[in-house]
Amino acid sequence: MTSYRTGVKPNRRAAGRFVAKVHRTLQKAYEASKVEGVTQTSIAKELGVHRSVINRQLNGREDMSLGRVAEFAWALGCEIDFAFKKHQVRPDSNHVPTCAPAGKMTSSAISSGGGEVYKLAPTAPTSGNAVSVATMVAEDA
Amino acid sequence: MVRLDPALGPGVLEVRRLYMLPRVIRQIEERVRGTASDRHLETEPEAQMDGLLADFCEGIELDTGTQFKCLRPVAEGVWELKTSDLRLFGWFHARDCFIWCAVAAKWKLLETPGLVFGYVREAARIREELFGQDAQFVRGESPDDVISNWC
Repeated sequence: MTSYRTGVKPNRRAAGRFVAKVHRTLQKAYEASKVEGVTQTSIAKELGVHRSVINRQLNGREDMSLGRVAEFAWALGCEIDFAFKKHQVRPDSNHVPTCAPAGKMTSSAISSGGGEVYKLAPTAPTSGNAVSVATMVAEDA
Repeated sequence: MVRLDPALGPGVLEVRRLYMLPRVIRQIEERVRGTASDRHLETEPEAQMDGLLADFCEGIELDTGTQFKCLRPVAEGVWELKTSDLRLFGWFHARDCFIWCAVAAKWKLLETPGLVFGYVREAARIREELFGQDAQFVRGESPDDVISNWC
């Protein structure tokens, strides 16, 4: 069977997945706070914006600044645990061979592990930096 | 049928599987690649799609409503995977196994009344053409039946 990879450039892939991770983390923190009576309206009031803004940002339909992420954490009574961690790729891991950030891959250099690859997306460099938002931790936890 | 390689990180294996019809690859080229977010989001539609597919395959908790949804009529067993700007149509062959048959921009669906229904009918027709009238697919609209980890 053939396989397919999206043609997203690795830098945009990293960006997209990071933004999604931030949204996911934020949504989970919000859901967890609901039991304490936190609502979109109460967050909006705390931050001085309309509830629709909070709704769009929580649902990923509107971008947020880093400052707004911090404001959300504050409104939810959380602090943000943020770290840059080096990629740790073992030679025998399930990752295709890596290349330098600006390097180009040739299809012959890549093993798809299952057949023809329609679209090749260069993988993240071994030495590249990974960004991790691990959790939003409740301040009183 | 083409298997999606979600390009997960090192040490991460696929928990869910996703197969796509070759036509989807053409649709991605024509409808998604190079487009900007209709909502002016920083993450362009193709990167949104890439992230959703990675989350799906990695088995990350998906949000019902904002990330996946059963479409009407329920009897057709057609679901959509969702990003802010895109809709990915298909059906679940089994729990955590999605067969993707079309992709469309959300603005196009909003602009054209009845288009979603058309995609639902088309998915059901394609499924029947591929697998026959007794095609196996998950029936019903319960997220539990199609996704193992959702909220």
